[in-house]
Amino acid sequence: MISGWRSIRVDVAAWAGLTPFLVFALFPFYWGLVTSFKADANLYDLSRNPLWIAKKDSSGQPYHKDIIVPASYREGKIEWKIKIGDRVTRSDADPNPPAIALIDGQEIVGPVAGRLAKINVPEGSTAHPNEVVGDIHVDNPTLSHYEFLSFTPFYRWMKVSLLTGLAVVLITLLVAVPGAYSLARLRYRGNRSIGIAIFLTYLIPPTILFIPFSQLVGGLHIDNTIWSLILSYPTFTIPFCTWLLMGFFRGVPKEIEERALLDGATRLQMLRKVVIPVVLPGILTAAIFAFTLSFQEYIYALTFISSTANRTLPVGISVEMVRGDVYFWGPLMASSILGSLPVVIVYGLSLNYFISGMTTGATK
Amino acid sequence: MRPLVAPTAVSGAPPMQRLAFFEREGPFGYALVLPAILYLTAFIAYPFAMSIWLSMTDASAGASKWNYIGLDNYSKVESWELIANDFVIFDGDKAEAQRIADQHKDEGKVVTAPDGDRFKASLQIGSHTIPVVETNGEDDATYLATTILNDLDWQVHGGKVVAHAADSPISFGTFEKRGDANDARKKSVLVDSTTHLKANGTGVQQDPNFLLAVKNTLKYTFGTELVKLFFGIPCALLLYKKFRGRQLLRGLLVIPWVIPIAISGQAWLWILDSTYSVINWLLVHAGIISPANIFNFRGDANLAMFSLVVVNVWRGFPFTTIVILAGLTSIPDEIIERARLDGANALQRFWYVMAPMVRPILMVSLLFSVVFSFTDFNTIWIITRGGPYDQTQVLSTYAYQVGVNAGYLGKGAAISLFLFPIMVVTVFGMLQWLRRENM
Repeated sequence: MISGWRSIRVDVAAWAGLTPFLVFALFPFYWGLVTSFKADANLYDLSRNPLWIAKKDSSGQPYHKDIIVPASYREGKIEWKIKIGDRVTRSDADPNPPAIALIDGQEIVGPVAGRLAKINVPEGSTAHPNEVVGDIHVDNPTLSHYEFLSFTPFYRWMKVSLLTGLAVVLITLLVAVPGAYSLARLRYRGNRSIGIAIFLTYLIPPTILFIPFSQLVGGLHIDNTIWSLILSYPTFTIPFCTWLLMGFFRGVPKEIEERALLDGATRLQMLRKVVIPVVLPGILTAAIFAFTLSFQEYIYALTFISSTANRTLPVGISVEMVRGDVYFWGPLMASSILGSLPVVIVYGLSLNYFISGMTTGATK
Repeated sequence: MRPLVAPTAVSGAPPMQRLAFFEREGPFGYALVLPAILYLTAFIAYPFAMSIWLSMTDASAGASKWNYIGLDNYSKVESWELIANDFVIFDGDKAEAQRIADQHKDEGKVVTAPDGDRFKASLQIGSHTIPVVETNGEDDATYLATTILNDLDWQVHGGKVVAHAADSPISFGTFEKRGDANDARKKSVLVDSTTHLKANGTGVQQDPNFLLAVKNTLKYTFGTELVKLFFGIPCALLLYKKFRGRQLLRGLLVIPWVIPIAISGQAWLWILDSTYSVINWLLVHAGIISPANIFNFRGDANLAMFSLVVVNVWRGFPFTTIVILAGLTSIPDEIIERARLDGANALQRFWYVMAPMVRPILMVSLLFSVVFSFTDFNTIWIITRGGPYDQTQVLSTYAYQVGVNAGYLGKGAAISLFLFPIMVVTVFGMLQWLRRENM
């Protein structure tokens, strides 16, 4: 009984102690998530609590927009152009808002941000210039920011990032696995120096190399293509994964190798059929890291790729979702949340590998 | 285990001399590591050499020919300017100093008289005559002395009266040679003052923005490391104990480190928005600040730097936590148990038993963290883009600005290469320390 209480006390103390740190660590994600579901009218309403989605504005009304007949219009009958449930526009800053109603053949154009929930106008009534003919309600919370992403190259960027990541994982493993085995297990002249030299490439990070590298990919005529990324990313994944894997290879008992060789296997067969199965967790860790590192990369992708269509996800979101000084916060947060998913999934599935990789990478 | 190939040598030592070339340890080893060496040579060593070469040319985007210009991108002085900030006008009696400072505008006047073929300007304040400058032209001397008398801020420190140029220092002329400027310093400035020579030129070292970027890089790096430890150590200690939900909390804590900063940084941008910042909203609604005084996080140079430091700590402290946690878990339980039995309390156990054992790994986390912050481009580029007005530019972002945005490849390469020596010194210093520690 006493020990039970004691363990609960330990639980509570640990949770309480960690809460402030967790709030700090996770708040930006919470904030992005809440924002991504808010209709613009709510997003820019300072009178409501921004930490939660408000159902109604400060006057107690659902979020809505008045439909005003422009002064230059003739009097006439109102007919509807849009239906309830239609996605209207992504934001109040849309440069080409769609038509929302028709008065005697003349269009009234938006902008109303979000998906329509309700139109408050008696159909067939007469509209007079300068008059409010009714109002339009939008959904709040809304999925319109997420729906909007299919009107941007978002999924194309996602594809570029995923493809690059997979290609980089492949190249990295092909180079780093044999390299790490050789450096960790085989004795030959220069073995130690090569290992150190590979480690020292940490001293020449992409922030030093991006300018000459941009000339290099230009010279190879692969600038502006995914190949420039597939070629450049292994420069940081290979050294990292080689060092990571060397730790794992050192942990393989020497006897099983000797036994295989005595049994007549060639060295290559021994490596493929005996050693690699043993270090599979290490290889998985290396693959996860190669993928995460290449998914996170920014400066090469920013420098080498200039066409909107070939951008990677991080660059696409940060560069193309902003027009001049105008940030489209709703779609920006929606794309950030969706864009984080690949790494979150990989991370969630391999939490223990990931954390062991973080520490072996740093300590070996 | 099933034999893969029928055994050939059943008894005795394996016949070494009969092994095929690639069955020998050396050739096999070289063959396996060769792809890594070739890849890294082609795509790290070669671009690095190219970077050094580029930094010695006038290469720019679109130019068909690059010319070798030596070290001009690094440093090229075209002229030397002699400037001064503080002039000691009087040093003596306290009351008299106060009187001079109070009355100088009403009582003081400038007297310029020829002195050989030059002109000497003095300030006359009450009974004091203080020679201040000597120049070739009469007007120059009068002008400089009048500026000192009327435009500077006269302060009293003890018995000293100091005329202080707050915003822009006073220029005593521009010279082609450093020697000429030094001569002028001796001959022109007669009053005790803090003068220095400012180099004007086209090299990055003469660029005030570059110097600012170096300063910001150091601020950004070393301003965050202690804070990361300050957050990371308690987190690691809390996660060290076994409790329900430990795996979950550890997993959640690492998320900032996993998500690309270019993506999570968007949420930070929105948190730091000039109008809709949630921090401002909370502060206003808690009654701490008034709506008129909300923070413009990215519009003010100091706040912008502070915001960058916060975001860097946010992203980096999970890493520090995990590395320290690994260090703690590697301490054998018996050692801590024995300390407990010896009567050490929790704090003593931490300070005398755990801390010394974790120290090497603490240094490793620090090393990685320093390298990471030092070469960071993404955070700064996303959050402030070096702004406002280049005030938060660091070496990497400034290199991008100059080398890619402005297209001066050579100069951009020179700026980013400045990262290299500092990295080498930091990393080797820390590795040396670690090696000593491990012995």
